[in-house]
Amino acid sequence: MKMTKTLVFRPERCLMCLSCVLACELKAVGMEDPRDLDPNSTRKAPRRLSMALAGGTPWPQRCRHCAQAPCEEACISGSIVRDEASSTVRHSPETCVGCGTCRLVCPFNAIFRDESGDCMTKCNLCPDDVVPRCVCACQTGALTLSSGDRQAQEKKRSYAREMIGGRGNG
Amino acid sequence: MADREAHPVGCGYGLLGLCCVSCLQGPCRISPFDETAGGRPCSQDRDWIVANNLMERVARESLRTMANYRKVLEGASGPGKRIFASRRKAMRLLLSPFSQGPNPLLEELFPEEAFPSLHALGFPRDSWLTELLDAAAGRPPERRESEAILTDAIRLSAVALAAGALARELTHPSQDPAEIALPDAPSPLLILISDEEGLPDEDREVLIGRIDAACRNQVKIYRLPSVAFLPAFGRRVYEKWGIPLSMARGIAVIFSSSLTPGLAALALGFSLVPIPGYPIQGSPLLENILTQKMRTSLGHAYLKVSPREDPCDAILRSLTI
Repeated sequence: MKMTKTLVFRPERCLMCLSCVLACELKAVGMEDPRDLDPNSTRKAPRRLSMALAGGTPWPQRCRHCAQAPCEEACISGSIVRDEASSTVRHSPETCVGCGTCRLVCPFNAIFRDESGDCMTKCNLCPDDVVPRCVCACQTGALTLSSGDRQAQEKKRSYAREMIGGRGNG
Repeated sequence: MADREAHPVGCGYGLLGLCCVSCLQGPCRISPFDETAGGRPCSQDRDWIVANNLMERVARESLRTMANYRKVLEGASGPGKRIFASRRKAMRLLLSPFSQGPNPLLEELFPEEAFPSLHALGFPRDSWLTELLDAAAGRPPERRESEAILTDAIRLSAVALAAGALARELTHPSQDPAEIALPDAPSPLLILISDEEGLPDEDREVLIGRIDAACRNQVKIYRLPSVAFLPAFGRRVYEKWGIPLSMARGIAVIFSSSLTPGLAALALGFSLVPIPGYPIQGSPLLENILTQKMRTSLGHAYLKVSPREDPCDAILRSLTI
């Protein structure tokens, strides 16, 4: 049975070390250790995760796996499909024609063009891995994996507790 | 602290040498997949970042070696200590911040006929401090080529090695490196050195045992307690066989978390297998210089061992080149 996976990002823990970005790029080229890369290779890794600063706060540019994904509606080749079982929006590079419409409609700027394959690329939440590579690479816990809304609820509870100075019976 | 069990690979940028903290406007990181330079306050490319990281590390590590050397020399200079005044003066020159001309001790430790590689790379002028100041004077970044920075780092490592050898001469006068027994005819040599200042490491000892078992039928193996013995080893090779180290196909396997021992071994003419490997893969230029260009021009090179490769295979492979 597929488990629902949700990425949770805590900006207060993010150091902008970009380890998540590198881990995602390495996964895209089928490697885990960057020392396995051929330095003379001109192979480019598709960029599926980027980090930016929004008003001084770290901001991951990645697919949010929307419940109602505009990219799925916009895709003309049917390459983007939402998988309800895992709550992810999956992109299939095999059938993608690279029109870029999904990139235009994505409100999070989370879809990129894969230069090597001449198609689009986005985060698929590493369906072959128990834990996505970006989460494995994050050493501060800024990126974590949650099943369902449980961790999101815990996060809200934690913030609320901080706001009231640790008081209350929650 | 990073949890090594949960994150065994570590920081990818650090492993490749692509994390730069040379100014306060960083730290900056370059992805190994990015080809474009610039976009950073200093606009330097990955080659410069990797070279600069090596140089800064060598400078920092050799500080410790030179501090220890100074301490040993001061201890050996007191009343009743048996050290000739002229030799003591020459040893002090190694710490001088002023250029005093060619240092006779460096000439004695690294004669050109035994160490042509070091002379080809640019023989150290006189003291460690003048080498360091000259290297620093070559900055800011826009005045220094990456290859020149790398050469400076290698040369500085060689001077630090000289200081280490001289310090050992003062602290362990009974140990005569000239008694190293070599075969009668030139043959490949494998030198295994573990960092004696490091903590005991069972995994390292197991790996040394495996290398010994895998290679003992192919090469003559020596286990040295410190890199400080390498200059004497090189001179011994020349005395016995009449050829320099780089022609004798010596391979040094150095187990250390420092860069200077391995870079110094490379400067002397050993092919080098450092464990762990050095953060140079972020720069194809520098990696090519160390692994290919050095072999072509000097006859020995840095031997790259991939993370999943057995060091024994890399060593055996290098013997067939």
